[in-house]
Amino acid sequence: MDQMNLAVINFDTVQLLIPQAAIATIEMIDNMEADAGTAGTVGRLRSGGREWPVYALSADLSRRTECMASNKYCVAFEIDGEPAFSLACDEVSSLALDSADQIKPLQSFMRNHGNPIEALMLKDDRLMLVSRVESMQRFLEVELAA
Amino acid sequence: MSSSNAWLLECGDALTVAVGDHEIVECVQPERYYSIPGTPGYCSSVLSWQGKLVPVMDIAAAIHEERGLPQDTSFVCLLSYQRAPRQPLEYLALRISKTPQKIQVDDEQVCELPEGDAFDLLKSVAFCCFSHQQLPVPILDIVRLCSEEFRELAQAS
Repeated sequence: MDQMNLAVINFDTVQLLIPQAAIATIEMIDNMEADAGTAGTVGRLRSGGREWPVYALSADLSRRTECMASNKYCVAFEIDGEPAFSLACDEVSSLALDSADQIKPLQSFMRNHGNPIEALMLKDDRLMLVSRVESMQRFLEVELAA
Repeated sequence: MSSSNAWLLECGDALTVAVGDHEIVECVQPERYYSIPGTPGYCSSVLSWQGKLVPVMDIAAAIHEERGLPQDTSFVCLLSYQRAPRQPLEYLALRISKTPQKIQVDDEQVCELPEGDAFDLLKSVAFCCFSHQQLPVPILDIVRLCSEEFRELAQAS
C-alpha cells in the first residue's frame, strides 16, 4: 500500500488527522482578518490572491466565536484546487503511515448525523480523530450552521 | 422443556439485561476511556483492548441520559457479536454496575416485556424477555443494539 501522509492539526485537546494533500497553505494566525459573527467564522485568511473563511473549534467540535489564546496558525484547505475553509489551531505537523491498519473506522452507530469524524487512531496513548476535507467542509458549512 | 445459559448484566438504574452465554468475552475496569465528539451520549467513548478500539455503551444512559453509570467507577463487560455469518467478530463494551451472574433460563420463564418508557426502547433491541426473581429481563440482540436505528430511537426518546 502507498504511504499515507496526514496532517496532524491540534486545537483545544483535539488531534485531527486530515490528508496532507488537501492543505493549500499554513499561515500565522496574526495574518487572519478577524470578522467574528459572519456565518460562524472567526475571520478570513487571504493568501496568494485567494481567500478562506476561518473557523475555530472546541474539543467537542462546536464552533467558537473567537480563536483560543493558544491558536497560533491557520491551516487552509482546498478541494479540487478551490479554497474550502481554514481551521485555527495550535500546532500542525505531519504523520506518514506505512499502513492504514492503525486507522480504525468510527462505527456508524456511534456517529451522530453530520459528524465529520470518520475514523480513529490511537498513538502514544492519545486518540487522534480522522476526517476528510470534504466531510469537514460539509460539517462546518451545513451541519453547524443548521 | 428446554433451558439455556445466559449472563445477567446489571446496567444501573435498576436495569438488568441478559446476553447469551457465548457473547461475553471478559469483564474489565479500563484504565482509560477515550471520548469522541459528535457521538451519542450513551456511546461517546472507546477503550483500547487487544489492539482494538471498542465502543463503550451505557444502556441506562440511552434510556435516561442523566441516569448513566459514573465513568470512573463502573466496570465494562466486553461482548462479541457477528453482524452476519462468516463476518468478523465485533466487540462492544457495556457498562455494568456489578459482576455478571451466570444463570439458567428455561421456557417457563418467558414473559412479555412490560410497557413503559425504559422497556419501549429495549423492545427494539430484545430477542425476548424472561422473568427472573419477579423482574422482567430482556435478552439483548447486540447487533440491533449496535445499529443506527437504535441510535435514532434512543435520541428520539
